[in-house]
Amino acid sequence: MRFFTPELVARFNSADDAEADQADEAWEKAIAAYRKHLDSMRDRMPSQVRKLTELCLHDADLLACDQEVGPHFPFPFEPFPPFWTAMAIVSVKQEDQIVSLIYLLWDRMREYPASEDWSFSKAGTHWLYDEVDVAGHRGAFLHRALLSDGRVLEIPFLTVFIHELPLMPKAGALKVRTSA
Amino acid sequence: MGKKKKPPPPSQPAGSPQIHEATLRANGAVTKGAVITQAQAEARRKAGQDVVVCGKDLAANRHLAGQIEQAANGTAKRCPPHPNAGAHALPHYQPDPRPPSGHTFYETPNRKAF
Repeated sequence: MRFFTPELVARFNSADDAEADQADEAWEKAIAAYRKHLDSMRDRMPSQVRKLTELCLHDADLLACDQEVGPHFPFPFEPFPPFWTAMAIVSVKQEDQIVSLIYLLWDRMREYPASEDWSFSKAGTHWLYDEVDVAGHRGAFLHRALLSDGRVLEIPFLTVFIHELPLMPKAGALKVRTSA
Repeated sequence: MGKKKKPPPPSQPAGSPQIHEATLRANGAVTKGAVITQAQAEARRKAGQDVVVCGKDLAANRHLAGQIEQAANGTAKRCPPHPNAGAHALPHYQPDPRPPSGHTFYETPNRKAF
């Protein structure tokens, strides 16, 4: 995470008033810096990526996080590298709907473990904060998400589709697995 | 016949934070309702409903909000406002881990309930 780091979240939770106050100010600055960062890359973002930056999944339960990597196909002409396809699906339950983020990847999804001093519960993983970034090459993006168990997901993607499935109010109309 | 008098709101020392019923709006803003006591706030939190602590002193708001969440749910995690939840989103306490749902919001110098 570049802006909403696990360390800043931990400082925000400090029992020391002075440190917690400083973290509150630092968080406001991080929000302002992130908004400026998004503004600077907005003209390079397709509409679906822009929509991702406007999504608020805070507190949504993580249901699934999978990636499917296709086989390598040799490209018939040099100097192009082998053709490679992969996609990832991250599904969360947010209030009365399931939101699935379906990514077309340009590299494998990475998962960074929680730091040793992450002091929050690792049960019932939910989404805390996320940020969208541009990668080095044109049309490539990174989506990073800090989870409640302290893990950070980094998803290198070319495009993303956001699918929202409302849960039926009728009992038994749709069974949802709520454990992470 | 005289009309029944409405009970006065819970008295608070001047300058100390006040606790209100709260409603989280779709745009992330928090609307404050009636003034309630700490005991009433804990009961609302146990039931998964929202409350908000309002006042000028950030540390005092934060302390009281933490006490409410701890007393109601035994655990409390402090969450800064989500950047996409809007300019009026408030920091809050919530159980760690959930359930119950809901939040104990608190005001800061920059962020206020409506």
